[in-house]
Amino acid sequence: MDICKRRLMKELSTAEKGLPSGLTLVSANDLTSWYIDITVDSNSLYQGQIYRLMFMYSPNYPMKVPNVQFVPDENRPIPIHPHIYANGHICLDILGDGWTPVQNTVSVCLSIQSMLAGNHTNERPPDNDSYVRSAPKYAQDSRFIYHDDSV
Amino acid sequence: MPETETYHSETIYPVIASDIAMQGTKTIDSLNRLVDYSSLDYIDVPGHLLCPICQYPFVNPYTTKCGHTFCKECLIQALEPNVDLSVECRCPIDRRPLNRDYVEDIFPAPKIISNMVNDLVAYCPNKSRGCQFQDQRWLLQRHIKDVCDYALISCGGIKEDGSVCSQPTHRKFIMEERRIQRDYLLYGYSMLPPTNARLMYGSSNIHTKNNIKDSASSSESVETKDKSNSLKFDQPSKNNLHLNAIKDTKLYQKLASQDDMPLLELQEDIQIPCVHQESDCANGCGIKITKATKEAHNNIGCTKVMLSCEYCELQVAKPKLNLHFEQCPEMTISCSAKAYGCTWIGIRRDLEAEHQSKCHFIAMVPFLSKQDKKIELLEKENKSLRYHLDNISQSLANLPSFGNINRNDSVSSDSTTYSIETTESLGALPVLPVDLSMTNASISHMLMENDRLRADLDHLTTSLAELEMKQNTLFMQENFRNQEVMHSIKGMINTLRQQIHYILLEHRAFTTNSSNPVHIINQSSKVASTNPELLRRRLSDITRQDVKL
Ligand SMILES: [Zn+2]
Ligand SMILES: [Zn+2]
Ligand SMILES: [Zn+2]
Ligand SMILES: [Zn+2]
Ligand SMILES: [Zn+2]
Ligand SMILES: [Zn+2]
Ligand SMILES: [Zn+2]
Repeated sequence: MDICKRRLMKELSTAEKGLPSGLTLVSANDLTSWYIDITVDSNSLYQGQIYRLMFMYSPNYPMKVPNVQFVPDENRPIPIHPHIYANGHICLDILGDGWTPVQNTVSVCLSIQSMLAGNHTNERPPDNDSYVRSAPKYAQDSRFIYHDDSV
Repeated sequence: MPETETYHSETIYPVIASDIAMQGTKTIDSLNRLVDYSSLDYIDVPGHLLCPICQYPFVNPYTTKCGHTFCKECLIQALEPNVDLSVECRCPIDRRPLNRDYVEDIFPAPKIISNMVNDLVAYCPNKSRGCQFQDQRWLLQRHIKDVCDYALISCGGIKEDGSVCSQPTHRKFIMEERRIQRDYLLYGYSMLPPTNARLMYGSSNIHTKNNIKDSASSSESVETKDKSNSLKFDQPSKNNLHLNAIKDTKLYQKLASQDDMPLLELQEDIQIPCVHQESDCANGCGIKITKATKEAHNNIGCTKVMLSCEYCELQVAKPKLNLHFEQCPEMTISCSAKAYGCTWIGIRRDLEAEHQSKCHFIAMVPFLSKQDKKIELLEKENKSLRYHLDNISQSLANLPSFGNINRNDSVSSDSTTYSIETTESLGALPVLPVDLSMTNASISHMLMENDRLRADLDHLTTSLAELEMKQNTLFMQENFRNQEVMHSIKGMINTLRQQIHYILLEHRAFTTNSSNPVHIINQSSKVASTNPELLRRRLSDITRQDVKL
């Protein structure tokens, strides 16, 4: 009956069998938020560094996009990338208007991974400072204008 | 849907199941549940039969006009319009606009798809309670309704105080009781040989066999029968129950004539004792058990059930036997490096005493396990790469269909002519379908690019409009400020003019006064009469300034 719960259970059981390389399931204690560690060793900019992603699922997942952002701690910084703000918010079309219910946690992780792998600019977004100053708590509540798909 | 299949339709049968029972629900009605196809444990499902949204085998599959199939429930939810209708509902896979209220947009999938998913084999939903049954999913409902040993049904037994128990329990325990009661009624009075009975109920358990023995012996005399009966139940009220039932000759005849009818159908006729009544464990471990918990208790919980280890002949409590097997020194085991090729087999004591120091394979274990880990890592990486590749090739495969559907679009009609041209230009050469799809693919890629650019343009237009607004307000503000400044300047000029005027008059009065005071009156009146233009010009000057400011 409850698509959200069933879907997350299924995703969790697949995730527990093993995630693609570079991804580690840290915790999925309740079904509403997951933490996943991500590494991008193919890109020298991010090599050897672990980053942590937080997924928050609303009760109407997968119809509605989950809130996905990087969360920092002392060992896990926010990756420097022209589409990732210093507060961990990610400007990626599939995390906004581009979301469809056929996407899932792993496919989002892989998209973020390839977004990092293909980047060669060691910079924050141009509007980083002004955005971070006024940003809402969750990236989902921002309306990004998707600059370009080249990175 | 005009035609409905009898068995493959999505009709949901009521099922007795679930853990609601554990919360002490009383009536059988509240235990009725529908077999939820989406929560079954399926065996071996082909990926094509998984709904892309919920990722479980389709339940009531629906197809879109773009040819994608989802569960009805999933599709309806995915196409739910948002509150202000600002965003168009689109196919979750190729983003074609779809309206869930239009029958031509979404409709039931072809019958063959629902037949295929309904034929998928799944475990009985009561698997977690121990049912090993598996069958095609549309048959599970019947299994649970009629035969599943682990389905919850209302006890219906007579309690000590004579009332009817309505607590739920596994069908298994009720059936056991019914068998006991029925065999008792049948063989206590009919002369069916016990062997026959055993053949008929080969699957029945020890209780039944015991009972057959009991009833065989009891048929010799009424006293022994009554004795065995009271021995078995230890409750006088049960005895009365039996006697009552036996006196009912109608029932007896019914039983005798149809002795192999399904037990469940005897439900109304046979009265059984409640299976929830507690008694002490026969092994003397001090724990209270009921008929329903006896089996589980004897198998795992009872500390008084001692088993002797088959290797060292030590007496071990059953719950601890597995633990013992991990360290029993007499147990036959193979070398710990068996996975890497050592063929040594012997008892554990010898392994620790001699073999461990001699075995070359054990020495290699750290290295080999390292290798194993590496291989596993590579396999994982390979898997993720394959996943990427699949995604890419899938999106490539989706592109041509996208172009074809848009045939009505002006751009796509261009694409058709374009592909015809390529066919002609290739002349006699055989044209591979791949070429066509490649052109289509590139054109649909262009279309997508176009869409993207259009979206970008939209963004730009909106931001431009915003900028214009901002600019306008800024301009207005600036204007207001300027106006204020000008007003104050005008005021200042006016006072200045008045002062100059005053000074001039003073000055003139002073000069004429010093020479001829009488003349000045004449002169001033003269000026006023002869020089009206001068005054008028000044006036006009002031008005002009007024307008300007
Ligand atoms: Zn579609
Ligand atoms: Zn579905
Ligand atoms: Zn079953
Ligand atoms: Zn009962
Ligand atoms: Zn016991
Ligand atoms: Zn032993
Ligand atoms: Zn060995």
